Amino acid sequence: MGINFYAHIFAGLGLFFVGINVLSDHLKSFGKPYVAGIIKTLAKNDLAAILSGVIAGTITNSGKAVTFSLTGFITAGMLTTRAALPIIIGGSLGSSFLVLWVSIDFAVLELFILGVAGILFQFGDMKSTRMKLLAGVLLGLGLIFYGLDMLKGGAAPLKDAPAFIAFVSDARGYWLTAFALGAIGAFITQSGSSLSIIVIAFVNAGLLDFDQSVMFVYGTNVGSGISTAMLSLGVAGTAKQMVIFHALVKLAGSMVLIPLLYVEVYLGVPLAKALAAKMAEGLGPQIGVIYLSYEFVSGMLLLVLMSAIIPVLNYFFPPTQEEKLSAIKYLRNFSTRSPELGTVHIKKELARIIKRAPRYLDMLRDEIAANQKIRETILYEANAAVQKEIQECIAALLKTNLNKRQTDQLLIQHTLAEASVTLDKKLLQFVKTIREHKKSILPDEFVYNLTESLHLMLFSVTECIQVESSFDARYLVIMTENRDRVVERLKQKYLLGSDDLSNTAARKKVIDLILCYEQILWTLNKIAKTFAADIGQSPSLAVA
Amino acid sequence: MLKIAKAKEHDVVILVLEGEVDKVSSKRLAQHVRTEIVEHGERRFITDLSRLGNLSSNGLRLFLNIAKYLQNMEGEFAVCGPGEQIKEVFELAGLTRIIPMYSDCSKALDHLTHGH
Repeated sequence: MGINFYAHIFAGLGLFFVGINVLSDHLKSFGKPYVAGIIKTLAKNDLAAILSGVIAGTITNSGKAVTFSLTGFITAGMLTTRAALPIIIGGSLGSSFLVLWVSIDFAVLELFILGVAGILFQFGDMKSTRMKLLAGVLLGLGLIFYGLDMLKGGAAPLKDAPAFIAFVSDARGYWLTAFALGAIGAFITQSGSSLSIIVIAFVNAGLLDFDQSVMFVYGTNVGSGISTAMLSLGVAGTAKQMVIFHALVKLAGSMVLIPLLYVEVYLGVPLAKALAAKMAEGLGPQIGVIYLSYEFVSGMLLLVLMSAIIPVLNYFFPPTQEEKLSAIKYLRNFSTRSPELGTVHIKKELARIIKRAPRYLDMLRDEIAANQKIRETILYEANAAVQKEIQECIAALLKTNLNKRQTDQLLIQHTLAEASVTLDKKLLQFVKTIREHKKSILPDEFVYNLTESLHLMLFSVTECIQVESSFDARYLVIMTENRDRVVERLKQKYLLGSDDLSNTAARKKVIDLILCYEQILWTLNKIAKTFAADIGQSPSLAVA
Repeated sequence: MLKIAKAKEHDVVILVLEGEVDKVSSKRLAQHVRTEIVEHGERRFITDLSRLGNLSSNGLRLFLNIAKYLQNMEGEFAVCGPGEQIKEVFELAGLTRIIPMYSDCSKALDHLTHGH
């Protein structure tokens, strides 16, 4: 076997991997806008959820992509964890259809597919997204088939190579070796389906023993499951639950099907191999059926065990603080069909977020800080997620036909939403500045007084919203208005009158904090005035 | 630990606070004021802060709520004799715009008794 042999193997593998990547990328781009809609529409019961997962997995050609996208739906309140798990089963099943399809020998069809792809790229309207995606999908498919053909053709001489014959006959019956190779290979390449497709090509070329190939395919699923489980190390909470479940979907089938393979081969009981032989002609397509059967058996096993698995997942991998804080409450039932109700939902969700503001300062106040389990950045990220949902709902409502009163009410919520985002940013900056520099630079009394006074004002906002009191809103307007002289006195005392702040860094931090304090006051003043306008009163309670 | 001493002059209740107003003691102080208002019908209060240590947002919140409540009932509320820290935190919180603050408690009594 000369250089030609290696060149064909290399080229075949290269074309195959390029094809897989091109196909996956284009399918994901095409499928992504539809996946959310499919899942939302179909995931109403387990069967429908599995079906939606199958469709999503087929469109995206990636069970992992379906799994990871579910976390976003759960966080947004569109799905519960329980509803998401059957979708993962379906996603794994759907993404395995390519293995079955590729196992069929399309002979010269792949050449026509490549030809059509080339024509589309050259003469098609590449500005059109659909045309680009169609051309990309056809190109990917064509390259996969052509790469496998090249691999098959290039590897054909191996059949007559004495060393290879000896290796295969020595290895015949060493199922565990095939299993281990499949597992290790899938773990390294992160793609059990790609390896399975390659094995199908070798089986079609008559290079591999059928039973070993079956074990190899089972091994790829186990390897894929282990590599998915390793992915869970990088995530937490609900995402980890989804990934661990996905890993279980990949692993569960081996516990049933490997023993059954031994039963079938050594005891002659017709099972998976017999089924594959009935359903497909040719060893390659039969391996494809075996692959699909594995996904099916694994999925059904987990569907039966789901009610036992969920409490275990919740116990070991509970939702994170950020997930709990990021979950929307009132906007779950938001609809643009009823602007009045929609605005009420927006108002309630926004009030819920603004009421969290004192928590930023609770993290600094000693008597509470010891019990705080949330860091300020987590609170900020969680609030930002909900604020984004609020803004999207406001934008959606503004596009509908609203009367003047409805528009005015919605614009008030829009102003409050923007102010809430600014308030969060400034509070985060305030807390971070103090945390970073308190012990080394900033005077204790200065930090204490700023923190306590802001805490009072944030609490006043909370009370204002809680009881929807214009009376309280008026007081807050008075407390936060025209604070220039107070700010000047602060600067005089802590910058010019202080011997402690001898260095530039310290002075800069004091200025940063005072500026932050000022900006928070402006924002609170804006919130109070907007809130007061919402209830329709004006301030008149100041001390003369 | 907060000590609360009560006096009365010219229909004005004077509460002398000594110690610190924290979460627990603010509830006790609130109860005191509520008793004076509801059971004894008092409407004018001065809180002497000259012997008070630091004031946290719990204490500030209590004073604000007392001021709001009394203003709503056409009553009056003032504070007097604050130390530097209390004065500054009152100013930063904007409370000096709602609750009159006097450096001297006799001036506070004079204003509440004779009006201004």
